[in-house]
Amino acid sequence: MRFAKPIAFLLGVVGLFPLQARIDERKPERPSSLLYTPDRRLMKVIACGYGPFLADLVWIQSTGYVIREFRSGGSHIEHLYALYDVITELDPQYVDAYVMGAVFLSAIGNEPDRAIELLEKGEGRIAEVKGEMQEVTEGRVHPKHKERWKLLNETAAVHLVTYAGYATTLPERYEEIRTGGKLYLYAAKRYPLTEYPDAPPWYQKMGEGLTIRGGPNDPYRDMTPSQYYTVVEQVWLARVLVTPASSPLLKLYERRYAEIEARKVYEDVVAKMGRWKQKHGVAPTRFEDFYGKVPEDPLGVGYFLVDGKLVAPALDASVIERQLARDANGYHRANERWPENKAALVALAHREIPAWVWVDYDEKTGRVRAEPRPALVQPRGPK
Amino acid sequence: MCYREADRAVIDLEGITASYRSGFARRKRLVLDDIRFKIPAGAIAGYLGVNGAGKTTTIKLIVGINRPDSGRIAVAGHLAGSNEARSALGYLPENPYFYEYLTPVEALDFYGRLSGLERKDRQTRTEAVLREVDLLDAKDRPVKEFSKGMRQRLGVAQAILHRPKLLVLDEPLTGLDPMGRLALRDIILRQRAQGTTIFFSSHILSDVEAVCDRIVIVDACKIAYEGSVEKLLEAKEGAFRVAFEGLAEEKHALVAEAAQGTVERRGAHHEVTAKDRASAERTLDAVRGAGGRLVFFQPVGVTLEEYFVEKFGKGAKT
Amino acid sequence: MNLPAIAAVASNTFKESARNRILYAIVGATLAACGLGYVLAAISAGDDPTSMPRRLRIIANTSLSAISLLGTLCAIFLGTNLVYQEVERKTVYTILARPIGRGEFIVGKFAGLAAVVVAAVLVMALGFAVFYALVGGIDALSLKHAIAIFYTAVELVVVVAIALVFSSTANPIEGAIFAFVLTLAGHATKNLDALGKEITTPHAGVEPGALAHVMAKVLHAIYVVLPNLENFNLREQVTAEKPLELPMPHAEILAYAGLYTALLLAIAAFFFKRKTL
Repeated sequence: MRFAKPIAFLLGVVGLFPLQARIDERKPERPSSLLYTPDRRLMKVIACGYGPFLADLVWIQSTGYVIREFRSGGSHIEHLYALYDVITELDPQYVDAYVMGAVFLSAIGNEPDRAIELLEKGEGRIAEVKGEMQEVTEGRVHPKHKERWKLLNETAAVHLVTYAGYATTLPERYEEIRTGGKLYLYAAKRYPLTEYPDAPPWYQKMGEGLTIRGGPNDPYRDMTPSQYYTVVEQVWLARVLVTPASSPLLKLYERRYAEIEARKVYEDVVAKMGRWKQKHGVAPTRFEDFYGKVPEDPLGVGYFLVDGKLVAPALDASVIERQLARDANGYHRANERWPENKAALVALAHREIPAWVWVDYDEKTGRVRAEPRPALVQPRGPK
Repeated sequence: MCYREADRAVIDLEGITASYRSGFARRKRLVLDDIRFKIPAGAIAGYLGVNGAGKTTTIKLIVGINRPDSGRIAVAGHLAGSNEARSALGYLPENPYFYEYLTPVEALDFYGRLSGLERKDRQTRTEAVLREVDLLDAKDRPVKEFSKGMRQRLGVAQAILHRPKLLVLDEPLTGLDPMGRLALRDIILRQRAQGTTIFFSSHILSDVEAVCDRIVIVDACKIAYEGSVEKLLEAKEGAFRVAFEGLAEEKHALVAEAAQGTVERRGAHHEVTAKDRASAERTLDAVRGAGGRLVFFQPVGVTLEEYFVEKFGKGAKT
Repeated sequence: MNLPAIAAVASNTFKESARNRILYAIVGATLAACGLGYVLAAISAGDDPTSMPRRLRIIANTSLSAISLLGTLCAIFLGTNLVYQEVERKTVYTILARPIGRGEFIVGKFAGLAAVVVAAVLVMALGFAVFYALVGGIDALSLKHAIAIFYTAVELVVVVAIALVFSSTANPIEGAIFAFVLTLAGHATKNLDALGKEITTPHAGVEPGALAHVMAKVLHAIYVVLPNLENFNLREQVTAEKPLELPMPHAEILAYAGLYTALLLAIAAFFFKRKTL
């Protein structure tokens, strides 16, 4: 048959399709091997002058990778730091890479320490020396880079939002808030609008307002800490606004924003409770007495009065989840393995898990989840 | 050596056209235009033509390396290029190239495998052909140390390795020193004695004249002549060459006039060609009359070289 | 198929290719890269015993990537010369005057070079194994490594076939460039398919139009027809920390390699047969 060979060839080509389909459905999908090539010191050598180009390629891969990992629901995203470390190594002047990496690391990766590490790579370490914030080590990003202020912005945000969010006591939280304020004051001097026209104009004012929080001059000590939350709200609101509708991160950001609202309500109720207690000498037992109504929980779970204290299971669960995840990630980073079981994890965290928070921990993947159990909120003593 | 026309032709070309594309626009250039010829079994046939006439192209078509644009070639009764045809022929390309790091033994083993010879057969044949081409001393030296003559002999060795019925040789004698040419001619004659048909192209017309009983001439994309050598050179029979010495320079003119030819110096003596018997006799008288001595006197036909130069002008070379 | 003749060409090609200095340069460079990986692993994590997994990862990454990358260069440089050299040096005439087809000749050249490349991978793998064992002990080596290297060898065999296509049709410099571009495309092709999937998923409630679907089909076709070399990339199975849950479709991957190589050789033979020598 004259056309035997061409027909056989065409059949061969056609046969590639089902074969490839079967390979695709059965081969586990992994991120591209580019992720695993670099030791970052080797990367610069391999880049051979095409650093920024390679940085873009890795960036494109990374965003997809982060979303995929986030979707699969972990509290820990492997290689997140390494990825952005490589990108910033390939193109040290790429400010957005430091910022994006830090956002992911602190907001969804539960690794705020590494977020700071990444940012410090870019801008150097800003620490308090003799009562003044100073640049203690030099950063990679050029001192006159027009977008350099973004790094400091994010560093402050990590303190104000993430670290403060882990705090269990008010003084701890105020400490982080004050650090954020000091960073803003430093930023106001370091990045004047005349040289860096895109920088925010409120550094000075915000810095002044935040550095006195929780101290003797704090005018908001007895009132709702609205100014702090305003900043935090702004950060999360900004993130909500710039995230596209199709991104799975949107729900996360929206939830974090709702959490801020919930915390605002919480602090408000606590403040009013305190004033009522001062007036009457004893803690209230019903919301209607001091608040006028049962407060609405933006997170949808509810607030409870237990033994004269306000309990917000949803808020507790969120904070505990992030804290435990951070502790687990820190342990993993130091020891190359996860804590053996839930008890070990909780021991690490040095905190007690209240009855109304259920913690789920997978020791193989290090995944931590915490859920509120409002039904388990029980008054302990007599009413 | 006589042959019958009824014998099946070992090489049979019919209606062969070949062209190639050249230049940036890849224009078609015609090399062979509807050529045909036959080579009978047992012949030693020479294939002649000026440079670029298409000799190598034709040979590659016969060997089956390339295919013609149209036409049919039969080799030993099979279609050229088929496995049977290629098994029946041995090919020595112009300036044969080998893998430089192989020894003759290794190279012949390789070619033997390609020809489908079994191991024992390969070993015996390798020994035999190396002896035949006188390369037995060098059988374990790498080819890159070989001289041109040795390479040529190795080329013949690989061509005869599988006992082919037909040997196709492209310019086998070119570039060899006289000893080399002699050796190769002997090999060719020995092969023919064993019954192999030989077909080779050459520029060295004197060798062709000495060895071939049949020649084919290609010119301007067509076959200009196909047949025996004698027939080609028949035309000039009757001429005589007279060689003499001892005559002073002034007397030469007399001799030249008698012969109606030019006197040429040949080493220690002089020669002149008289175009027929009558002028040959007059030339003899002229020489003796002028006091010269005869060196030799012989009848001569035109040489192939002279025919070529006359026919094809400035294109032909020695 | 004249197997003895193909075998003869293959073994001859093996001997010739094994002489090529580029081969030794590349194998040497790869061993040096493995050594570099060892150095990096040794200095990166200090004496902390719990950092062993990290160190093993560093050397595994460096070495396996070097083997793949440099092996690809080797396959391309040697492959694009393969047929071209024979024609250029006229050694091909005495071969084709014998009862072997042009297609069989191509198969023989391919088999010979593929064998050389696989042998080179074995040597490089040995170097890797030595350095790896120096870092983590003999026990650290496992089947995973062997599998990853095996599939690297399979990938390189396909790259040899790619190079051979261009060896029949172009001079070595052009051929090397084309082959390199096609190989690069082969690693990136999966992203084309992903792009096609991306443009056909609804965004924020907006359905993609017919044009998007057509483009996605075209992209998918290009994805399949280009040599998908990522099919053979199992390096992450070696270096990832999450254990491999699903069984690998080994049979399908090898079938893909075999089918694609056969198609490439058919193309190479097709062009070589049409060449006037």
